[in-house]
Amino acid sequence: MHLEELISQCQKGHRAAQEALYKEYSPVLFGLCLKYSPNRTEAEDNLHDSFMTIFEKIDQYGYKGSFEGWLKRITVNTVLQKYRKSNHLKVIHDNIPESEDWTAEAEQVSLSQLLGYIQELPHKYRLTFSLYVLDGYSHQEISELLGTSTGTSKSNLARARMILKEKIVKNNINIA
Amino acid sequence: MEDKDLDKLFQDKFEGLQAPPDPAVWDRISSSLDQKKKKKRVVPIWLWPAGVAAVLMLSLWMGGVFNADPIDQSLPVYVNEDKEESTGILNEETPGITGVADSHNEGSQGDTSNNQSPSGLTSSPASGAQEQKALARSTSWSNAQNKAVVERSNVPKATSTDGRATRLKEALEDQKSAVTTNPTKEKADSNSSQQTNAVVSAESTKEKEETTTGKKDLFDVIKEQEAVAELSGETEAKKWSLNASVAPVYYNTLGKGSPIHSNFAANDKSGEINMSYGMNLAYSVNKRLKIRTGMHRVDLGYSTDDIIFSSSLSASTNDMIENIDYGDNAVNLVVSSSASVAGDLSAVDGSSDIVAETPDQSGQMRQQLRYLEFPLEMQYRFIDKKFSLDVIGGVSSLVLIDNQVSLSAEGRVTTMGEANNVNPLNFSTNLGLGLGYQLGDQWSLSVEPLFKYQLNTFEGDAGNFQPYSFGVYSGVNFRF
Repeated sequence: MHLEELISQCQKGHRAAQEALYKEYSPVLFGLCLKYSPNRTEAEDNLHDSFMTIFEKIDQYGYKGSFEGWLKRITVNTVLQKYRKSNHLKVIHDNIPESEDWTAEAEQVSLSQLLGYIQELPHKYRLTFSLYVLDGYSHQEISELLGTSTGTSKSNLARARMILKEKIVKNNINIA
Repeated sequence: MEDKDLDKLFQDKFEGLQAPPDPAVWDRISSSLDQKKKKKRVVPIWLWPAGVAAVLMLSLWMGGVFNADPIDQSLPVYVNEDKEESTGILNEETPGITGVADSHNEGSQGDTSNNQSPSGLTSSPASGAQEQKALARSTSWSNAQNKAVVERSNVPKATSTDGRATRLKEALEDQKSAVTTNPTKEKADSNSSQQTNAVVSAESTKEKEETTTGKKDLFDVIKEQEAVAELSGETEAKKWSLNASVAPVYYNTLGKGSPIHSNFAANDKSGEINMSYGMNLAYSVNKRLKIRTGMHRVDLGYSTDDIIFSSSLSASTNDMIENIDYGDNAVNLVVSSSASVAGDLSAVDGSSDIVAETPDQSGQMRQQLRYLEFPLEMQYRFIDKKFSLDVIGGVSSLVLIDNQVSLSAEGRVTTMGEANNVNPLNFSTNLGLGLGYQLGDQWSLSVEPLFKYQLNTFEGDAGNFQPYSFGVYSGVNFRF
């Protein structure tokens, strides 16, 4: 089915079209949810909520810009809404050992491991890191999206990086 | 370790990340969509009878109040009676009205809390169950993840220099190892670890293109995104709101006419402030626009100044004002404007003696109208922050439930009767502002100065009498 036709069918609330749309875009959007959620279960909940919003708002889609971009924005916003109010931040260990030959070792870390590391981060660190590093948002944009200052956004990113480095280094030591 | 190395590692790995979710997610979405459809159909059906019931209850209850608060009972003529007695009657009236206002507020609060409780009951067990499920599933996921890590550590390290190729190979190996090791594990675990590995679907070059376009989109439309964020926030927004309000309402005329008799057209009219109270039910059509209806009890009244009246046994039906159905005790009353009496005196020979013998009272003639008001108004929100600003416009149907004309002089009051030229149903056009203050997700306070111009209050010619009311409605809103 042509995309525009699919969208128009979804706008009329046809279930088959909604399912086709879900099948087409859920892998991409679930990938997005995984990056922004603390675990797979919550990522699935967020995917569910995102699609509910998508199907509700689809008649507002104005065919401006890419449809996938629109879907991603709704998904990111749905996830952000859930976690941005949370102030739960863990205490950070600052004494992270530096590793010189880190890059060579790091190649061995798998995607699911890295995903695990991201998901283990406290909410604000995870959101900031994913927005900044993985999806290319600026600190200004992040501060607006999360309702913080750019300073907070920068320090959240620094702390997220610190924790991630620590985890990678630890992991490499374990492997070696 | 440099930040850029770390970033690059993650960026490379997460490029074009795609992960097929559990098939159960679609089943959940599908059933949620079914529920939503059902809900959409059911809510208004459930709500309207509730609204009608509330209005009925309110009107029955107010009917009781009317009986207890006899505005209409004919009072004796107090022309020469003791001053204390009449002030006593005035004082009795006031607490009656404030009492009504208080208990009405209590009633409306009761209504809103009733509305709140069922939703609380239904939502809490569901979320509890979800949480438990989430907990159970997250532990299985982390177990699976740990296993996956262990399994992968046993896989021989890839030596290719090309990062992407390594990743591909790794992914394949991951899948392979999952497949080979899974049969030896427990069944439940094997499912979870398969899910873990399914996360990794690396289709290197094709994905890279997709991601770069994806990134561009995200860059381009960040501003729009905020708008979407607000919109998606609205998804959960509550569409209905209930408002209980009370208002001092000032009633007066824009022109000089008199609906009682043309004799009084030239007399000054002074407006009165009475209380109006009631409830509104509003439905949010979208973020800015609301439609609302409701029911208010409203007392309106004004006084005609420079009135002379007396009680005379010689009063004939000719002296009676046509537009008033006199009460039993009021048939002897002769009422006229001080200006027209002076005219009559000079015109009719001998009449001066009669007039001189009757003890005239000069004072005011007061006309009071009590309505049930059913507004139908639109509300457009211009400022939607903690403080909000709305422009309100609409029409009201006013059903007359009581009317009275009385005379007052030197602090004493007597009832003349009812005006018979007041339409049982009339309309008003309403315009005003709404100022709101949010108290939380569901509660807010509002102050609404509203101007209401009445259209067909009186039958036939009321001279240039153009009644209007102006009220400042203060209320509490509950969204649900």
